[in-house]
Order: sequence, then structure tokens, then C-alpha cells
Amino acid sequence: MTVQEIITRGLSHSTKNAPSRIVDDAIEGLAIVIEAVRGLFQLGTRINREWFGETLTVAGAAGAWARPADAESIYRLEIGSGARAGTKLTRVPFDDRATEFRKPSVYAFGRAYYPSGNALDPNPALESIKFFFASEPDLPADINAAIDARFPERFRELLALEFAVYLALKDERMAGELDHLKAERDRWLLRYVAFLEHEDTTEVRRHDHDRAFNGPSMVPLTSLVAGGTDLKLQ
Amino acid sequence: VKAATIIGLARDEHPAFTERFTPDGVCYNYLEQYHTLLARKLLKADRDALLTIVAVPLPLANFDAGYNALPARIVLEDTAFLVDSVANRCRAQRVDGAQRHNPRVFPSFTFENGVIYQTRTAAYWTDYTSLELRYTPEVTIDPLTDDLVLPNDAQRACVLALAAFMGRRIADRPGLPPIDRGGLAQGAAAAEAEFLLAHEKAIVSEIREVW
Repeated sequence: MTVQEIITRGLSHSTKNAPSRIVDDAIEGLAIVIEAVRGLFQLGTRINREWFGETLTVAGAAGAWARPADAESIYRLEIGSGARAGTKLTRVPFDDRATEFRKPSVYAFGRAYYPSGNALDPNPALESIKFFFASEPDLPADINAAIDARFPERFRELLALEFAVYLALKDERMAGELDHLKAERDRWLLRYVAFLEHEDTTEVRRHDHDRAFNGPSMVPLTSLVAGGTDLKLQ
Repeated sequence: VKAATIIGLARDEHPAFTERFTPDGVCYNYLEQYHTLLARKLLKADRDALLTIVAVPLPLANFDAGYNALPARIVLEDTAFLVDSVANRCRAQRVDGAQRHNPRVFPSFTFENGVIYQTRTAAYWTDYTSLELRYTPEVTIDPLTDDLVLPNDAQRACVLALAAFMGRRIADRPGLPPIDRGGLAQGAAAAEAEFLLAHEKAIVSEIREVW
């Protein structure tokens, strides 16, 4: 599934989309598809972070461990080397570093992680940190490059419709066609969300069923697609 | 039973009791306070419940310096036992520090600033090979992996008290059953009462010459 294939399918959703005139495939077309993929990765990470999961072991430098640059959402930290390798690390708030003073903990500041100053903390000079995270998509270099394989190919129509909705918005085709395209897009969006919800139902979980996280707010999933959606996604 | 085990079992009482909203550190602080409180109640029910016995070999390396290898904070019993060279045991009475050099009873000892001193002089103690001290240590739990000082059957009381505390800290979560805060509090009180009842000593069966 290449970017060009997505663009071609997206253009075909409206007779008003004149190929090579409404959008330059290699520049704007590529950029639109990249943003569409990024949005669907973000949305998917909220639903099934493990699907987009990666790990990276980072050695300490200058008293800290750098945050993986392509991490969209970090969801577990472990000590990555030495005798305590595999030990879970707890991230504590920058302004309350004694929250878990009986456990190894770190705090985050400026895209880096620091020991929180308690007895069991990891040592940046001796130990690494293994990050478990959902990463951003690998970006296609040009329109002939493939979309990141973590986006399942069978939902390519969703990407094409995201592209088509963007063109309709650009062309200000607000009445009629935009609603029709969004409705069609939402149908595929539901299938994509449903897949990420149920792709593996074998997990047994003691706590944390709603996977809520500590934060000042939570952006609704419905705002992460082109033109927003009226679907009831939490 | 380890503190970390108690915290894990308390989390099992409700799926909303996650580490994210009720961190181990917060749970531990509560558990430490409750554990200390429950230990005091237990000692009221049975003063020997947490009794620790240590045998101090005699003679001491330095008679005048006394024996100071006890934990920093203890409650020492008024009576210790002495063992002589042919394994006979006899009582040693604790006396006031002012009587260290001229005690009214002998054998006896004083306990000052965490140090045990034998009374009179070393020459009076040549027959004795060890001093058996009985004390209750300060009730503490330190790292999460440490065992509780309380007996293992205190586990249910600790778990429910901690679960009730967790329930008070957080709001109900969407999609999860409401937290039965009243039920947890009642369960905790009942488990505590049951634990203390099980350890209540039948004082009538104990015969003591003096109080």
C-alpha cells in the first residue's frame, strides 16, 4: 500500500477531484497522507497501545536518559541493564519526587528522564532504561513508498477517505458531499477502531481496566480525524 | 506477610485501585500507620504477642559499658532470666538506674538510654553465662519487601483497612462497579475485631506473684 495508491483511491471518491490539479500528489498529496496516517496512529494508540508497541534501551548520559524521539506514548519503563534489569521503574511527578520513595523511580523533564533522588533509583552512569512505547509511524519518503505496515492494509479505504475529506474541506464542498464523505469515512473508522479493540481479547487484567491516565485533560478521539466525527468514541 | 503483598491484595478488592491513582508509596504510608496502630491494640490484648527474646552472653566485653546491641527503641520487660554454668535459670529484676551500684535486689539490671547494665560489679556475676532479655521492639516495616511485625493472621485486617483507605482516596470510575466504601470500612472493622479477639489472652489462666 503506497502513498500513490491512497491518493488515487482518495481522488476517485469525487468527480470534482481533478487529478494533478486539485492537489500536487508528490508534495501536498504526500503531506496529507502522512498527516492522515499520523492521526490514525494517534487515535489507535489510545485504543490499543500495544499494537503500535516498540522498545528502546537508552543508556544514561549527563545524568539522565533521553526520551525516545519517535515515542507517541510511553507506557512502561524498566531498568534496562545490570543486575536489576527488568525491574519496573515508576515515573513520579517532577514536583513530588518522593511519591514512590521506596521504589526505583524517575521523573521526566525536558524530554529526558532523571533519577528522582531516592535510594533505589537507577544510576545513569551504570544503568540504562528500557522504554516501552507506541511510536509515531515511519514516514514514507515519497509517494511510491509504502505506508507503515502497522496500519493494516485492509483499512486503506479509511486513509483514502481521510484524503478525500481533506480535499472536500479544501474545496469548501461543505453541503452534501462533505457529509457524505464523512459518513463513509466514519463507517471505515468504526471498523478500524473495532479491529484495534478486539484484535486480541485474551488479556487478563487485575486493575486499570479503563486505562485512564493522569493528566490535566484528555482530547476526545473524535477530534483526531479530518473534519472531526460525530461518532461516539470515548 | 510482606507490605507489598498487603498492598497487592488490597488492590484486588476493586479494579479501580490501580497503582496510577493509589501509588504504592501512598498505600505504604497508610499501611505503616495502621500497622503501628494495630500493633498497639494487639499489645493491649496480649502484652506478649510481639515478644522478642535475646540471649546476651556473659561476661560482657566491658562490664561498665553495658550491653547496647538492642534495637534503638524497645519496650523492655521488667524481668530477665539468667542462666548459670550448669544451665539453671533464675530471674533477674530490673531496678531503677540509681540503684545500679547498690541494688535492693540481686541479680538485677538497669536499662538506661537503650543500654543494659548489670548491677554491682563483675565479680558478683561470675556464675552466670547468659542473660535472657525479653522485649517488644518498636513496630516498624521498612522496604516494601519487609515482613510485617504483626502475626500473619493480621493480613485480612490490614488488607481491608488499606482497601477502605484506597476507596476514600478515589472517585468511582466509569464502566466499573461503584466502590462499596461502607462495606470496605465495615469489613475492615470486623476483620480487626476478629484478629484482636483471637489474640486476647485469657488473663485468668496466668498466675503471677507480682503485678
